[in-house]
Formats: sequence, C-alpha cells, structure tokens
Amino acid sequence: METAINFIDLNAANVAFLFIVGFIGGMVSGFIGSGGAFVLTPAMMSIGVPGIVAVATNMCHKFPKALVGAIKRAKYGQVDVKLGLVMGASAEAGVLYGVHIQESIKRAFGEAGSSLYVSVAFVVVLAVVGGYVLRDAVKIYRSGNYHEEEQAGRLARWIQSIHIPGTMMYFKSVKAKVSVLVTIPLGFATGMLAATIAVGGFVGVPSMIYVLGVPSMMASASELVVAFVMGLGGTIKFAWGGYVDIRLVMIILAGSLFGIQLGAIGTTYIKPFMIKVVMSVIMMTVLISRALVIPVYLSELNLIATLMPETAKLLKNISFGVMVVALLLGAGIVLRALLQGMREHKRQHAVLEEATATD
Amino acid sequence: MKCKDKFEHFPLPNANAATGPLGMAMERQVLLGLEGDRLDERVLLCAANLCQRVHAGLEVLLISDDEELPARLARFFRELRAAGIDYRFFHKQGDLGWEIIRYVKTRKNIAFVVVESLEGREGKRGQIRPWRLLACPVVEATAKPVSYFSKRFYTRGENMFKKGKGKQTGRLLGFGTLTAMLYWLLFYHESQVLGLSTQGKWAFWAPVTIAFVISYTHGAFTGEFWDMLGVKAKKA
Repeated sequence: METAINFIDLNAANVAFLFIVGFIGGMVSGFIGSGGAFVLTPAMMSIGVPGIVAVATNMCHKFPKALVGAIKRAKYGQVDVKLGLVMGASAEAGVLYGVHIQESIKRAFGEAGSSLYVSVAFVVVLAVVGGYVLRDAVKIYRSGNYHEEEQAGRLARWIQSIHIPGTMMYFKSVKAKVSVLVTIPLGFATGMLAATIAVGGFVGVPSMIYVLGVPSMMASASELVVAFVMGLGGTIKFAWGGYVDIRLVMIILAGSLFGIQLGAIGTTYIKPFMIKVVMSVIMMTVLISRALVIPVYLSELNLIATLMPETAKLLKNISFGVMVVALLLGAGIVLRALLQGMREHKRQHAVLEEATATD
Repeated sequence: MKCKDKFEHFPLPNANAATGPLGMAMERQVLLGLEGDRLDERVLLCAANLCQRVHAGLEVLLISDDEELPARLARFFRELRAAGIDYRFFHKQGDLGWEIIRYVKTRKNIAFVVVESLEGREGKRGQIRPWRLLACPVVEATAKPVSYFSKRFYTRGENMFKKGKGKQTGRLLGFGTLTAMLYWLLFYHESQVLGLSTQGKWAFWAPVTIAFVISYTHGAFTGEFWDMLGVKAKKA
C-alpha cells in the first residue's frame, strides 16, 4: 500500500521518553481505567509522530495492556466482565465509525488537519467531561462523605428503573437490570472517541458511573475490558490501513506493562472517590496542554494569520511542558496513594502482631 | 480430604458468593484449626503450603485454655510473614470441631479448613458429625507423610518457603530473558518488521500477533517483578 505516512526515526532520547511516558500512562490507566492515551497520543505527536499514526499506535498498545490490567484487577474482584463485553460490542461499532471519520479528515486536510481535529476533540471532551467529574469530586470531598459507600445518582436510578421487555440484562456492578438500549449509545460514544482521539475511557468511565450507577472502582476496572475489545478491533482496522508503527507500540508497552500493574495494585489502597479526583485533575491539565497547540495547527492550515516560527515553537514547547506536568501529576498521585496505603497497611499489621503476641 | 489431593482441581465453594462493599470479592482464606496441646509441624506446613497454592490468606484458630501464645506458633507467624502470607490469629476455648463450625458460619470467605486429624472426631453412630455441616472442604494433615510430599513439602518450614521463593525467581528470570530476546529480535530486524506491520490489508495479523506475544511474556515478567519487590495488593 502506497502511503505518505511519515514514520519517525528512533533515537535514544525518543525511546527513553516513550518508555517513561508508557510507564506513567500505564500506571494511570491501571488506576483510573482510561487507556492512558490522553498523555500517550499527545506525547507521540510531540516528537513528530503524525496524529493518525499516534492514534493507531496507541490503539495497538492499548489492547494488550488493557488485557493485562483487566486480569490483574479481576483478581481483586473489581471487574464486571459482562458489562465490559456488552459495552465493548457497541464500542466496536463506534470505533469503526470513528476510524472512518479520522481517515476522511486526513484525506481531505492532510496531517495538519488530522492533528487539529484530534486536538480540538481532546479539548471539547476534556472540558465537558473533566469539568463535570471535577465538580463531583470536589462536592464529595467538601461533604466529607468520601469514606461512605458510593450511591447511584438520580440519572442512574432513573435509568435502572426503566424496563424495556426483551432488552434487560443484569449487571453485578450495578446490582440491577439495565436495558442494553442504554448501554449501546454509551458504548458507541466510547468507541467513537477512542478511534478519534484514542481516549474512550474519558467517556466510558464517567458514563458507567453517572448513567448506569456503577461504583467508581468497578467502572474504572470494567473499562479495561471495553478498552481491550475496542482496542483489538480498532487495531485491526488501523493496521488494515497500514498506520500502526509496531516499534513505538513495543517501546510504550515495555513501560506501560510495568505501570499498569502498579496502578492496579494502587487501587486496593485508596478510597473510591480518589478515582474521580485523579481522573479530573489529569483531564483538566491535559486540556490546557492541547488547547495551547491548537493555534499552531490553525496557522498551518491557513485558518488564522500565519504564526511566526518562533511563536509556533514556543507554543509547542509550553504545551509539551504542561503535558509533562499532567504526566507527573498523575504519576505522583498514584504513587503517593500506593506508598501511603502500603505504609499504613504495614503499620496496622504491626499493631495486630503486637496485640497477637500479648494475647 | 487429604493434604495430598490436588487443590487446583477442587472447585472452590461459593467462590463468588463472598462480596464486600462495591461488589468486590473478599480474598479467600484458609482456616487452620489447632488445639493447644497438638501443634504438629506437618499441619502448620500443610496450611501454609495450601495458602501458597491457592493464593489465600490464613486464619489461625487456636483452641486452648492457656492464654499464652505457644512459642512454635509465634515462630510459625514469623515464617508466614517472611513468606508473604497474610494471617489472622484467634484464640478460643471449647471444642475444636464446633468452634470451627461456628467460625466458618460467620465468614463467607473460608475456602478450606485444615486440621491435623479427624481421628476421634467423627462422632459415634447416630451423633451429629460436625465436619459434615461445613460447606467447604476439610483438609486432614495426616500423620503418615506421603512420599510425594515428604520430599517437597514436609521439610523444615523455612526451606519450604525458600523453595517457593526460588521458583518465583526462576519465573522472573525466565520471562525476563524471553521478553528481552523478543525485543532484541524486533529491533534487530526493525526495518523488515516495520515494513510488514505497515503493509496494510491482510498483514494486520503482524502487529496484532506481535503485541499479543510480547504482552504475554512481558506481562508475566512485570507481575513477578513487582511481586518480588514486595509490592502487592492490599488484602481485604
């Protein structure tokens, strides 16, 4: 297949960067269930990987990583496999449609157009969904009820009350029957976004929490099953077009499989509402990062006055710096939760041993 | 049920029945029933071995009139900690059989009960046999060691735990070496592999297969890696 795709040359700096980004992305993914693509896709684009190759490569690394993460979290009893597979089925349709849009934009507007589309989609989704999740996390924190078991919201309770004969399915995470006619559009939206910007989890996880009433911990874990299903399907679709750079996939996977295990272990030490906190903080930071670089792509497409090369470079560098902050923020929160939790667990064990010895 | 039976093939009763908040399954436990004057080495090893094989925690129920913790048991707890097996200890007075029944009834996550022997505890004809009331298997660490076990498992406690650690190191090195070899192959033939994976159409199998294979070996390696470093999930 003849293609004008540019596959970058790898050097030591790029390899190290992608490994570290993969590790942190995997850690966050294991923690909050998203594909980690919100840092991986922009990270690859930052080193010159075209938008569509970044998304395709991310997709190919996502499904094996999601499989490993789902297996790990299933051992902790956090995965609703049935829900993941049901949503994954409709997500697959969304992926195919999203890929079709992505390819159409690339054909019509070239690499700059594709990159602009990905960046704008990032900004819109992260602003809407991230803002809502952040508001919810702050509300829970202020109420002081973050030690209590999560309750389904009004929307979720209404959804659970809907009964459409012949379409109802019981999901253990919801502890109720829900119509698949509700899960279909949620899965479709997740898949479409995943194929467009490889970040389906930012629609998938909040929709499970707020629309279906799935507890945060189980939503983030079950999303890994959805990620596996659509990742596999999306990879096949993108690979059919010859867009997958397997070298980048393997470098990112090398780091992310270390990280995803760590993130999954971290979830056993935290309160459920922390999932929302971590997700929203990272989403808002990455939103700023991608918003900064939009004028550069607009300029390349001559939609705005041409930016001076120095200005374009400065914006890209600042965008990159903010993305690094998002990365470090995510990693920091997860590691802190894990270390604090392990320390506390050891301390409790020591107290118990002391009590046992004096019994 | 004898300790020699293959636990891996024994279906765990109600494995999914025990759930905590948010629908999370509670970690399964092995209950070790002991009587203060009968602390046989073999029953301790049997219980620890079982925990390792089925990835369970240990709950130790000691029936004794003496309030003091036996020295052998304190040493056993140290050995468990060294082997990374989580445990809890309870001390009661009364009849071992009935205390075990009462205990198991209040805990939905007991997968196995381990006792030294059922001899003399089967009850007379017409009497209630307490073991029959349990919903989980009862493992009898018999007095006679079975040859298969005497070499591998009926050794001094620390040696047995060290063998487990050695196996883990072997797995870590094995998967690590395999992963390293696969990566070396991938990048040694970088241009050919990239050409194949970007060929498009039916060549889609190439990136998918490579991703599956390397994720299997590398996923196993990273799991063992964190386990060796002591980074483990918090047990319920």
